[in-house]
Amino acid sequence: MKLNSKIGLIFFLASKGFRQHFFGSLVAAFSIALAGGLFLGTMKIQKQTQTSFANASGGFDAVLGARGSKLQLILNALFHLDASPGNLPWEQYELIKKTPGVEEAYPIAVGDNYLGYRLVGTDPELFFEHEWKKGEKYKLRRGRVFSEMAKEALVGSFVADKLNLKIGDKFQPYHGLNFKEDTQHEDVYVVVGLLEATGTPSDKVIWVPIKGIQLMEGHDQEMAQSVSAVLLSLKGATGFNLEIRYNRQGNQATFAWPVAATLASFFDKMNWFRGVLEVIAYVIAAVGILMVASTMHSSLNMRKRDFAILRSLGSGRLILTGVIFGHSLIISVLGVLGSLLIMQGIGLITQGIIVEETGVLLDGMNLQLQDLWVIMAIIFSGLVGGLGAAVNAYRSELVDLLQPIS
Amino acid sequence: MVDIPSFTLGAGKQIAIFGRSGSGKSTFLNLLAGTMKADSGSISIAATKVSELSESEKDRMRAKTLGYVFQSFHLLQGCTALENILVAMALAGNASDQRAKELLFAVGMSERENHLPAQLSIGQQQRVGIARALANDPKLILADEPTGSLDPENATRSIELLKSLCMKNQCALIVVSHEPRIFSCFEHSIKWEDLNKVG
Repeated sequence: MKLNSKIGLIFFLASKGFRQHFFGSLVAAFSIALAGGLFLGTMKIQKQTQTSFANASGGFDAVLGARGSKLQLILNALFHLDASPGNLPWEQYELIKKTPGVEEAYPIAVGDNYLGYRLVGTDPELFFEHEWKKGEKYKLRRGRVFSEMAKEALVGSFVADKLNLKIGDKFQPYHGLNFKEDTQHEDVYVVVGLLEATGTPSDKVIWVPIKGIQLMEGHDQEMAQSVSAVLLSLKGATGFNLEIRYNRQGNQATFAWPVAATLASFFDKMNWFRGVLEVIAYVIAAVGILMVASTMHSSLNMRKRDFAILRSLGSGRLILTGVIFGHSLIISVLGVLGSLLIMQGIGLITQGIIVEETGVLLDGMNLQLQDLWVIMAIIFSGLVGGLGAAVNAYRSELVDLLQPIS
Repeated sequence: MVDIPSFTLGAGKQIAIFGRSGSGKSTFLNLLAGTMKADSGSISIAATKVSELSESEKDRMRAKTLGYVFQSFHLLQGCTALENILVAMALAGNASDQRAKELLFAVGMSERENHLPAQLSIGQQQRVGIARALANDPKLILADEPTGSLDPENATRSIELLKSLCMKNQCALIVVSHEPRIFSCFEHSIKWEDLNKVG
C-alpha cells in the first residue's frame, strides 16, 4: 500500500469507497451497462444485418428467373425466402450456360419442403466447383454429395441439427413451400450427406438432384422441363450485356444483377426503419447519459461525509477530486464492461432469431475503432456525473457535513 | 456570531472551554482550523497566520499542524482503524505503518487495528479518533465535544488519554464542551461567555 504517493492514496480511497458503497456503486455501473449495451447493440445490429445479408448471397453475381421482381428473384433463389416468381424453360438455362462470359450456371428448382424446410433441386457440381465465399467451397460434415439421378439428399447444417437428420435417414417431402400434413409426396429420399455450416441461407435447405424436383410424383409435366432460376457467376462486363439482353430487349426472363446492388437498394428502401432504429438508439443514449450522470451523482453524494472528513484531515482539491474521479472511473469502467456483455447478449439473441428466420449468420459483435468513441463517451458521462459530486463536496460547508450523528 | 478580542494558548498547553450548545464554540474551532473564514481579525497557529493562507495552504496546514477530534468521531467507515490513521498520515505525506501501530498501541487499540469502525464500540471509535488526531505530530489538537457520545466513565477516560498523549507529544490542546464535569480534568479552563463577547 503506497499511500505516500498521491496516486496511491487516491486509488486506495477510491477503491475503499467503492467497496463501502458496493451496492450503490453496482447499481450505478449497471445503469451505465444497460444504457451503453442497448446503444451499442442497437447500432451494431443495424450495421451487421446489412453487411451480413450482403455477404450471404452464396458467391453468385446474378440470378436469371421468370419475368418479375429482381428482389423477389434474389430472395427466392439465394435467400430461400418468398415465393418463386415462376418457372423458366430448361432451354433458357442451356442458353445462358453457353453464353461467353458466364463462368458458372447452376439451375435450381423449388416447390417442395420437408417439415417446413425447403427442398432445392440443383446440379451436384455446385458442391464440387462453386465457391460460396471467395476461396471457400462447400464442405461435407459427413457422407457424400447426392447423385444426379438418385432420390438422395444433402442436408444443410441448420436443417440437420433442427430435424436431427442422419446419414441413411429416409423422408418423404411435402408439396409446396410451406408444410401441410396432407400434401406428402410418395417419393422417398435418403440422406446421403450433411453439409458443414456456412452461415448462409443454404444451411437452411435440403439439397436434392434437380431431376428429383422436376420429376417428383404429383408435379405437372411442364415442371419436368423447367427450372425456377439459374444462379450465375460472371466474368468481366458480361453482366451489362445480359442486363440489356434480358431486361431491356427481352420479355421472357428477368436478369437480377448485380446481386449486391439489388440487395443494397432493398436496404435503402428500408432506410426509414434504420432511421427509426437510429432515433431509438440516440434516445437510449441520451436517457443513458442523464441516467449515468444522475446515478453517479447520487451514488457519490452518499460519500459526502467521507469527503468532508478527508477535507477536515487536510485533503486538498487534487486528492478529493481524484478520489471522486477514481470512484467514478471504477464505476464507469465496470459499466463499460457490462455494456460490452449486454451488447454481446443482444447480439447472440438477435443472431439466433435471424439465423432461425433466414439462415444468415450475423458476424460476431466485435468492437471496432468507432466504438471506442462510444466507450469514451460512456466514461466521460460517468466522470461528468462525478464532477458534480466533486464540486458539491468542495463547496459544501464542512461545518454542516460534520454535524454530530445523532 | 463569534467575537473574540484576544485568545492565546502557549505551545503544548491545554485548555477546556465550556459553554452551552449552539453558542458558537464549534464555529471558533472551525475558524482556528481554517474551515471557516473570519470576517475580520487574525488567527495565528505556530507562527503561521491562518487567516492569510490560501485554501490549499490551509489544507496543508490542517494536515500537518492540526489534529481534530470530533464528537461523532468521523472515522472513514470503509477503512479499518489502522487505515484511518494511515490515511491521515498520508495526507501529510508521511504514512508509516509502524508509527500508526504505535499510536493504536498508545490508545489501547492494537488488537483491533484491522476492525472497521462499525465493528468497534463507541469508546473504541473515540480512541481511534484520538490516535488519528495525533497521527502527524500536530502542534495543536482541536477537540469538539469529544465526550458528547460517551458515557461518563468512558468520557473521563478519553479526556485523560487525550491529555496525556498531547502532553507526551508536546502538542497544545483545546477542548470545547458543554459538559461541566470535564472542568475538573483540566488545569486551565474558561467559560465560553468570558471568551466570546457576543451574546
